[in-house]
Parts: sequence; C-alpha cells; structure tokens
Amino acid sequence: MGGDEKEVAVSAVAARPLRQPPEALEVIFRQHHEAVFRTAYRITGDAMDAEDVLQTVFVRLLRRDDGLDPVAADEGAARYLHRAAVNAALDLLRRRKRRPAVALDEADDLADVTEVAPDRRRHSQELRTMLREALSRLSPRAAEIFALRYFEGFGNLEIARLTGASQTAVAVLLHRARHRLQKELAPFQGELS
Amino acid sequence: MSTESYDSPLDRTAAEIRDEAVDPAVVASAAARVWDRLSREGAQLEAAPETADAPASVAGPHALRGCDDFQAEIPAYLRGELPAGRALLVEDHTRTCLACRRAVKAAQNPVTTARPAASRSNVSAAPRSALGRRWTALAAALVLLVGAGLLLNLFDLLPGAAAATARIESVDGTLFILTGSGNSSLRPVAAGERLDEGDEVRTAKGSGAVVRLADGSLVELGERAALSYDARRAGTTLHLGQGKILIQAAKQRDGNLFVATEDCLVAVTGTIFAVNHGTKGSRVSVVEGEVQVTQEGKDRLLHPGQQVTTHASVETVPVADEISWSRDADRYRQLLAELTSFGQELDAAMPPPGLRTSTRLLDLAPQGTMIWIALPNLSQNLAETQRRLDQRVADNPLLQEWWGDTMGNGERSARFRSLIEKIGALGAHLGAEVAVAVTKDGPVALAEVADAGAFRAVLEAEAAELAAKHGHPVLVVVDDPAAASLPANGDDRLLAWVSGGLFVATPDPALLARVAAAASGTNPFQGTPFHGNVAAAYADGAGWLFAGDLKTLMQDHGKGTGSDASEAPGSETATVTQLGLLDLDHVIIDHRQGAERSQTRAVVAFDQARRGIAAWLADPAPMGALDFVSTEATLAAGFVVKNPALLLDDLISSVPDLGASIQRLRDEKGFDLQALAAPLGGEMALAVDGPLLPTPAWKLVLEVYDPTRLQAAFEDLVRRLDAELASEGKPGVELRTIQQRGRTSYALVAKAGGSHPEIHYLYADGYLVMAPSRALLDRALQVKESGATLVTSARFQELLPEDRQVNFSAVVFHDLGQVLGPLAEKAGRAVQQGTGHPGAGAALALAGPTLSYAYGEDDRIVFASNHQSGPLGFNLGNLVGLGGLAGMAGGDHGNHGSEVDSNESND
Repeated sequence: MGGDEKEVAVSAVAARPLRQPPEALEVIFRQHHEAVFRTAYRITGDAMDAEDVLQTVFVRLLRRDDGLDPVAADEGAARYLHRAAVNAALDLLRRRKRRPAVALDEADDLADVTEVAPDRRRHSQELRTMLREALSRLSPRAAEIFALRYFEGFGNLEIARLTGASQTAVAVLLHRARHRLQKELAPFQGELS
Repeated sequence: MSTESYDSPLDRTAAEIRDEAVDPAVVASAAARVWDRLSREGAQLEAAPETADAPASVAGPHALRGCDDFQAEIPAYLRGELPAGRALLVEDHTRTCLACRRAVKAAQNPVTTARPAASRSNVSAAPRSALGRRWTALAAALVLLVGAGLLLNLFDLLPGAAAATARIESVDGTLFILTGSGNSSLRPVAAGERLDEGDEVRTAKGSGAVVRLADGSLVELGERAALSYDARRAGTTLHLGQGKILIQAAKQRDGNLFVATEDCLVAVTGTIFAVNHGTKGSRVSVVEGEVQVTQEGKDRLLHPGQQVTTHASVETVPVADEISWSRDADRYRQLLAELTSFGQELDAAMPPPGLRTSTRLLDLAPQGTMIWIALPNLSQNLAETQRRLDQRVADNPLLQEWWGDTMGNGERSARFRSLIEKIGALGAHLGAEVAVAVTKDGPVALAEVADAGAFRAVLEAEAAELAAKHGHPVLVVVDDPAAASLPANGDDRLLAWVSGGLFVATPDPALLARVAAAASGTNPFQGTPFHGNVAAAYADGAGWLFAGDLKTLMQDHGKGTGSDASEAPGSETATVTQLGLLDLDHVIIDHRQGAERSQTRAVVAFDQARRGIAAWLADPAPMGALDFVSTEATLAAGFVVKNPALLLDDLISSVPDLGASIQRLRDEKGFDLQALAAPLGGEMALAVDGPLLPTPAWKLVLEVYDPTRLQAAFEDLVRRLDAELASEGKPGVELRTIQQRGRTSYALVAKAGGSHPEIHYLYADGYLVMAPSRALLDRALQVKESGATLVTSARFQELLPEDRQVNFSAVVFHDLGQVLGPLAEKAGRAVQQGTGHPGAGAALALAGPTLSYAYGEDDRIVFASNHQSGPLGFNLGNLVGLGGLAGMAGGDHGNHGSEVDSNESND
C-alpha cells in the first residue's frame, strides 16, 4: 500500500478546521470512506465513478435530517454505508446509460460487439465491463442483491437482514439474476479459455 | 478470500471483480477531494438559517421540505448552479417524484439529460491587491531613482534575490544544504538563499536556522536537524529527517501544512508547534492552535500544551521545556500579528496607478533610443508606505527589532529611509510617468515636472548634499544644456536639467543636448518605426512599458563582436539566420494593473514574415487536444506548430551538433525521429490533470494524421530500444496491447517489472493520448465525451483575454504556483504577495490560476499572461534588474498576503 500518500490524504481530511461538517460525519468518513470507495469501484469499475459515489453517499448522510449516531451505530453505519454504496453505484451505472454522452460510448461498444469476429478472444477486463453493464439492466433490487452476494461477499442471511427481504426471496432473486446475467454473458463465454 | 468455485464464467468474472485491486493512492486522493467538497457543503449547512427567507433561486442553503421547495430549485439545477449536494438532492427527489420529474422536463428546453456541471465549484480569479501594487510601486520608484542618479549604492542595501519558494531566513552557526540527485553535494548556505523542493538542509552541531516557507510559515531548526519539503496542491509537506523544529505556521487557506517524520504525520492549519524526531521516535508539542497527528493509522488531535510521542520509550516532557531551545517563537508570533495589520492598513490606503494613454516624454527621447522603459510615478505610494512603516516601527519595539534584522545595521536603515524620503520629495513634483530611454551612448531619464522651481530646489539641495559627501560634484544641475561648458562625461557624474516642465537626467552631455534640442524643435527619433511602435503601445493604455529596438540592438552587437561584417559569417551566423532570429525587429512588453486582474503582454515583432524557429509557432488555431483535459487540471499547455516534421528538420539543420547526433542515432541505432514526427498534426497539449502523488497524473495529447504510420514507427522504435538495452545487458522494454471496453490501448512497460513507470496511450478522435496509466486514459476520454473540459471551466474562462483573437497559438494554464519551475519561482513570490485582497481565492494561496498565451501572427508573436509574471517567466521588475527590490518587497511584506486573507476569512 502506498501508506504515505494515504496518510497524507486522510490527514488532509482530518486537518480541516471545525467550521466544517459535523465531527460525527468526519469520524464516519475517516473510518468508512475506503470501504465505500472500493465497493463503488467494484460495481462501477471506474475510479471517477467511485469518487462520485463516495461523494453521493456522504452528501446524503450529511443531509439526512434524522442523522446517524456514529458511535452507537458503528456497525450499523458500516452496513448502512455498504448498502448505500452499492445502491448509489448501481444508480450511477443506470443513470450513465441514459446520459447521451455515455450512450454514444456504449453505442461504440455495442457496435464493436456485433462486429467482433467470433473467434476473437475477449479480455477478461472486457468481460467484467460486460457484467457490470448487464447488472445495470437488472431490476434495482436484483442488482443490489447480486452485488452484495457476489461482489461484496455477503451471505444470503445477511443480505436478507440488510434488505429486509426474506431469505427465500433473496435466494429466488439471486437465482433469477444469475440466470439472466449468464444469458447476457453467454455470447462471450465460449471464447474464454 | 474467495470460496467460490470458478465453475462458470459468471462466477469467475464476479470473483475477478471482487478481487480487483484499487491503488490506495487513488482512494486517498479521491477521499481528499470528496472531503473537501463535503466540507463546503457542511459549511453551507451550518451557515443556513433554519427559516429560509432567502429566495430559492440563489440556491440558498435552506432545507428542502416539499415538492414546492424542490421545484423552486429546478431552474438553478438546470443551469448547473446548485452546489453538488443540493443538485443531488434534487436528483434524488425527482427520481422518486413524478410531479417533480415532470416539472424538470417542462423546464428543460431543449431537453437535456446532462448532469449539471455544478459539482466542481471553482474559485474565481481574485482581484489583484494593493500588495502587488506596492512592490510595483517600489520598483517603479526605483527606476525613478536610476534616472535621478541617487541609486548608486542602493542595491547593496537590499536583501538577496527574490524568495519565490522557501528561503533561509537566518542562520545561527552552520547550515548545510544537500542538493543534486541523491543529495550528493553538500555545502554551507547563508541566510537569504533559496531552498528548493527536494533540497535538504541540515543544521550543524550547536547551530540553528530559520526557514521561511513560501506561505510565510517560519520553521526554526534546532541543532542537527535535517529538513526538506515538497509543495503539492494539497499542501506543503515538511520532511523532518531528524532533530527538532518549531513551526510558526501561517494560516493555511486551501492547502495544508504537514510535517512528516518516518513514524508520524502532523497536519496543521495555522498554529505553533514543535516536532522533535530522533532515533527512538518523535515527540510533537503544541504551543498554540490545533494539530492532528497521524501515526500507524490512528489520529490524535492535540491542543495547546499537549504533547504526543510515537514510541513508549519516548516520554512526554513539559511543552515549555520542549521548545526552550527556540530563540524567539514568541517574538515571531507577535511580529506576524503586527505585520498583518500593517498590510491591511496599506491595502486600504494605496490606490492603484491609472493607465496612461499618451505620453509627451516619448517624443522627447533622443535619437538613437534603443530601449524605452516607462513606469507610472509611484513615488508617493512608496513614501507613504515608508511613512506608515516608520510610524509603526516607532510604536512597536518588536517591529523595531524586525526592521533592524531586515535592514542590518542602523546606518543602512538610515540610508534606506533617507533614500525613500528623497524619492518622495523628488517624485512629488513629477508627473504621472517616469521614463528612461537607453541609447548606445547611455541612458536618459525623463519626467514631467509640475513645479519646476520647487523641484529644482529639491534637486539642488540633493546635489549639494551629495557633493559634500563624495567630495566632488555628483549631481550637476545645469542651466543650459547646449553650453559647451558642460563638464566632461564622467563615470560618476549625473547631469540634471529642469526646464519647461521637463526634467532630464543623464550622465552624457551630448545626450542632454539632444533631448534639449528635441524639446525645442523637431526630433528625428519621432520619425523612426521604433517610435511609432512604442507610441502605438500607449494607445491601449500603459502601466509598465518596456520596449526594445532589437534590430538596432543586434546590429550594435554585431559591430561589437566582429570588426567587420564579413568576418562573422561562419556557422554561427548561418545558424542565427536559420533560426530566424536576425529578423527580429522589436519587442514591447507592457504590464497593466487592472482592478480585477493584471495583464502582462509581450510582442515580439519581426521585420518580415516569420521564418526558422520563429515560424514554428503556427497561427492561432483551435486546440482540440485540450478537450482531453479536465476542469481540475493543475497545469495545461497547448500549442499549435506549423509542421512537426519540418520543425525537426529546422532543428537538425540549424543546430549542427544536435543534427549530427540525431543523424547518428538514425544511422547507428535506427532511431528515426522523423518517422515519429511525420505522422503528427501540428497540435499538442500537455497537462497535469489529477493527483500528483504517487505518479503525477500527466497527459500528453498529440494530433495525429496517420495513426497507423505513427504506431508502426513507435513499435519499431520500441523494438530497437529494447534490442539496444538488451545489448547493454539491461532489462528491456516492451509495448503491450490492451483491449478494454472495446478500445485498444498500448502500454510501454519495462520488462523488469516492478515499480518502473509505465506509459499508456491510445488513439482517439485523431489524437494520440498518452498518460502514465490506463485509468487516466479512460478519464481523458470521459472528459472529452462529457464536454466538461478545462477550457469550458469557469476558472479558465475568467482568465481569457479580451481581444480580437478566437484561438491561441499557444496557451499555458496553471493553477499551481509552487511546483512549476522557473516561471513559478519568479512569479510565485510576487504573485503570492498580490493576493491580500479581501476575497482572494483560496486557489491563489499557492499562486492563483494563471493563463499565459501566445499568438503567432505573420510578422510577430504576441505573448501575454494574466499575472504579474510575464510570459517566459520574467516580469518587468526582473527585466530592469529590480529583482532584488521585488524580493525585498516580497520578503519584508511577505506575510501580509496570506495573513490578511486568513484573518478576513476567519472574521
């Protein structure tokens, strides 16, 4: 890890004078920003997007009228933020699709896909991008559960608790999501060695 | 960590995603930026009154309680004027609320789904301050002195060169500086010397020293201390290798001040604290304010009187004891407070000089004038500054001590003061402009005089005093400039003539006679092209003006070096001709101090269409390459050149040594630079766009007309380079092809792997985009696609000059004064002092955004800059040899800028 750089940045955070956001938020930010960023990065695959998500999540937290008691709810904060990060990142993926600038980008990609010769080997990175895009086309709930399960490594029980769904519902949604995603990725699967 | 069986591509891909690594530095820099934005949000929230009576269109920070509130925000949201957080709330709400979504749609015309560009709030270019003006005033008055001949010994009164970055403030004992790669060379340094980024200073046994940082912070070093620093956008980091330091931090506006030791990091925003770092660990003690100490991932906040150690074996000691080695921390603190209020007083008292659109003086310049320097008469500002300073010094023993330190012994101080007084006395009678014309026979100072009688009396008193002091006449006030009885041209004698509302001073009687003749009749100089060019420069309004008749200057130079023209023609002349430099006609540099910003402009004109090197810069043209640069770039430069391949040819043919080595490279190693240059278009951009750590996020964008050919040439070059390295037994390099998101990019990597820097590039939209990582390439493409580029950003737009041009030939934007090398080094200090104006932007804490640009026209190149530092890193002060005075103004008044800012922001 580039320890020095990290410390500098974190301390830059810490060194802000007190006219800044509530201290509670500062504590939460310092503790959780990395987890939020990494979660967001996994879903968006892009550092800039992850930065946007990080900001989104904390701005929402900052603006919440009901606030979060950071000390008492330390574990709660982690869970809340984890889930918030997943959803904000998925939001961003979905929203991105609707933005014209990016729509062009995707049109590019899609055009590529159709033109690609079948024997062309897909880089695994590209497959990851495909998966992320496919994820954004799932229902928000299914996408969230899939991301929590397969990107974040939560168990079904935990996901059920986190999302307030029943364990059965989680399992069903996961199964459907997998099925759908496998279908979406199918055109490229055979090419993987 | 993964327990998945990778039996399906879906699982495998998901697992890959889960295990994808993110560079911690990327996370850290993103976190720093986000926190920064959050902080602004937070400040807004806190400042928000609970009952919102402000109109919503101002994006008032009141709470959004219902659909009406949200809908009221929609216009501002669509204009992109809402702060990021508020825009987000609107977005959140409209996603879930059909009525509001409809309202947004209704308000959108034409429909656009682009995200509002409000998320990056920009600090506008701050107005120039009186502080900037003050040193301008000092330098201007100094030129007046040159003219009046009183300046004979002033320069030795002044402290050393301008302190652009950190400076050694004082040395008690011996201080060494280690410079060069690997800190290979060690030499003693004296007070006044500059300390550059990366250089390390070490105090010897029993010695101490004080270093003044660019922001005005003072760092006192105890014995055997080793200190270096680096200045980044996020702040300045002092690296304490060993020993004790005591820091008197100036208020930090945007950046922060950090002290790093090998075992802890101390962050500070304006306070007094000490760090003691030794073999066992570190001890941090706080005298005033708050500091944050980070060690092993844990943060601790220290308050006055508190102390923390990094290792159990290091015990705490009373803070007073810990800093007892310091000579005068208290004194510094009080002193800064004094100087701050003085700076505020001056800011309030000094009006900026007006621009002059015409001049009588130019018409009186003697024939043969090659250089014309004209300045506003700021002697009264200078005298007033001194008067107020004297008053303060008299009232305050601390300031007395400081003044003594600054000026050295009492005699120097007295001489300085009396000089200032004389400037004031003489300048009071002079007109708005003071000019110096330089001919090959010598200089002539010219000024208009309002009250000739009174002025002459002052002058004669001065002459008598000088004569008494030197034992012979130094300043001779003459009655009849045409008289043959004038004293011979002496090396230390100045002739002054006051007549007809005009004051003329020169060491040369013949020049005096020429000016007198011009005043009473016709002046041959008036008919010259140079006169016409300078006169034209006044038309736009002149502040400072420097004009040089390069044609004549170079002819004279030619005569000086060779006895006749036929002797010179060797390769040297051929080179100069080739480079197009013999075509130079004149240069005019002017500096204008506006209320909002200052502009320095230089016009280099040629006597025919530009050729050679002078022709490399193409006529102004659009720069698509800059579209890859984001709104957050700290440095961006764009150029259009006429033809890269021809440019290389020019270089090869005009610099024979270089040409030969390029030729040799091609013949012996097969490195064909022409093959690389030929496929290029004429446009290029270089930017630092993103975090500076650990690898500066640079990007290079080149216009490419023939990517296939360029790629082939590049691949060939890499192959040859690899073979070359292999033949030397070194690990080679290779070019990798990366397919990602349907795009092909290339990476030039060292085969040895490890931490060697990589170069990634791809081709997009007719450009080659190059950066140190693939992520940065993606970002560059995103920037281009989003349209939110540097060029469209407010901080760039605000610096754009108002003129008839649509495009630039070259443009350099930077927002990072301290790390920019010579240009910033020269500009930095002066510029920094110029930011004491209330509301000066935080971005200016380091130097402020600066835009320099150039227009290539048929027979001239126009350079300009919006800042005090002119194009090419010089300013008028330096040009006329006044760097020392500028430095003094910077050094002595140095803290005002940042301190004034800070105080006002804290009010």
